[in-house]
Amino acid sequence: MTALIADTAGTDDAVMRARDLTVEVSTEHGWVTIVDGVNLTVRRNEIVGLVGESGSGKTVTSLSVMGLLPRNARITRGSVEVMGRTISTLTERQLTEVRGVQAAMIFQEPRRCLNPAFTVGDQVAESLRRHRGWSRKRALQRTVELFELVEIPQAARRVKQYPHEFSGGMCQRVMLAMALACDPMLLIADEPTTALDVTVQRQVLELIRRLQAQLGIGVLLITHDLGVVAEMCDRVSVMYAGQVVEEADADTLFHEPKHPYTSGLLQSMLEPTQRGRPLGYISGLVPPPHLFPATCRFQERCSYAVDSACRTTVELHQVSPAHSSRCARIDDLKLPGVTD
Amino acid sequence: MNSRTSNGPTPEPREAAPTLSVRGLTKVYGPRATMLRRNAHRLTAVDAVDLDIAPGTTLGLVGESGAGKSTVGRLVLRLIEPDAGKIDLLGTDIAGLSRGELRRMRAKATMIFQDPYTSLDPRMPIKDSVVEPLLVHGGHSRSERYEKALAMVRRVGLGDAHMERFPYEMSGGQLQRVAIARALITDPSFIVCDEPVAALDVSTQAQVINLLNDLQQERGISYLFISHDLRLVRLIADEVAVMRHGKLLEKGDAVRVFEEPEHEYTRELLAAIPGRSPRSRRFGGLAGCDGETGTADLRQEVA
Repeated sequence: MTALIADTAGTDDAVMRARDLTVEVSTEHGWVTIVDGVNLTVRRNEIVGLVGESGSGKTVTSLSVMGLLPRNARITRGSVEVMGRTISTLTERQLTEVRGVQAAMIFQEPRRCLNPAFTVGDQVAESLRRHRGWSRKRALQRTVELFELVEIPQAARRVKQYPHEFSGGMCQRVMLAMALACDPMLLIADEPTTALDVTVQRQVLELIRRLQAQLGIGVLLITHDLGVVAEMCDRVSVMYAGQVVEEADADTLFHEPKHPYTSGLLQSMLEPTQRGRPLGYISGLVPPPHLFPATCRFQERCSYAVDSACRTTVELHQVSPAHSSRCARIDDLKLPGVTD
Repeated sequence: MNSRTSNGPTPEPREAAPTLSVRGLTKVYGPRATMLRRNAHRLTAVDAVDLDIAPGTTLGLVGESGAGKSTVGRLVLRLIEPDAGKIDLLGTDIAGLSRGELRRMRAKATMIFQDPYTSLDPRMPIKDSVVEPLLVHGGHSRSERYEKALAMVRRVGLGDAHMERFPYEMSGGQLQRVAIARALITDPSFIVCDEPVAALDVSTQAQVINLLNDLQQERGISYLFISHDLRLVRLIADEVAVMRHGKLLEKGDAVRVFEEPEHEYTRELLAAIPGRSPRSRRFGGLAGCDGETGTADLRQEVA
């Protein structure tokens, strides 16, 4: 607990790194593994997408990065480091130094994250006063600058307003201002635009991308919308039933997927070009965590599954140095990706 | 107009009377003028909207939250009362219908809501939820009702075992299938689908959309398909109407609206559809992005 400023965060620019992260939750079926051996790295200057259906474990992964796991959950194996500090070894007090200062998070429904009884300016300034010990006045001055950074018009007037006076898109900008207040190096965005209108979604995504480039931060973008991933991400990890099933740079993942699940998701992507052609889909459901099979977890829903190879535990195989897939038939399958 | 409508067994010829014809539909919310308060906070949620839906076709109604799409969906079934306008539903002017007549009408014109978790009774097993509309509309024996329900539950792709389950035991996609079965059991010719897949996962969305398309071909149902997602509307609609602030800005053949949008706002909505791969990025202002689709207008709006 003493060495707080740990070694120089590795040799590369990693701002966040999960190694073999395994999380269990206590349920009526006992302790059940919901995130299983996840490796995930986010470096400076990149946006990493974490994709999967509901129940795939993407949100639990992100919560363990922030040390925000609920009480009925525990990390049983592996670790998460943020800026070189291992989250699970930190005390609650040390965790508050990580949260907000080194890593910050924005959520799906921005309005629910804001306290309706305080002005938005006060809520953004709170983080500066708490973490930096700034005076009210100084913090509020900086808040106005932050509002300008996230492109809220008439910043000086808007800081004095209450959340109900903001639209959904503007609330998400306020959340971004709050997240970026203490210059974190890692921003986790959990479905940041799912609740927003399309035109507003576009503006917020463009803003996130611009801020990421301007501030040189790393962003972990959690979403189920592959269109958003296509627009935003440099690298992508696809999760299924608690495991990473494929990871690659975005271009490779979309055009040469090596896991049937990724390929299936790409086929079910809404294509705004033609009507009438039935959409591809993946039949079946993500199994509940207590029924995760010991074999390939996607096997039951997979149209490429063969008995011999798929009835065993499947590890992540490397396709190329930056591309790996958890598919037993990785060498003999040619899977369809998107066609431009 | 569209190949899909012509190969399906269309029950009536194309020239038949429209399933739905709406003229000057208006709904105003807010306090009425009183002695103490005059016209305070009046909001015209739907402002003189005209719509037509031909038998066996789908009208996609798009717009952002607050545009009045859902209000239109409820008005055309008279779930809420319009303040002005004429609604012809299945050849009947529904303004003059009594409560009983309206209820009978709703066997032929039903609705599917966005969130199946809240639109199905949590204390009712699936079979009862699906049977309930038949109970309301009468005319079937108990065993007939359950036979019909079972056939319908099978038709939407669920198993016999699902009949006995409760909503909490099922996934969102399965529940939306139940909602569809419930809407279909009275054999309607018109269904209002209000954001029917917005609450579902991508892989499940596709299944529900395919199901709706198949059912339309099979039974010649007309849909009013309300959605904020233009990608979905593109997949299912023959015609598209774009709404904003209660007004209809543009309507027309789906292909035409998507290929050659006339209204500036429609273009803005289309420009906000994300690309399909990192090679075809469409958003502007992105560092290291190679997309270049006409986005100048939006960038200005952001700045």
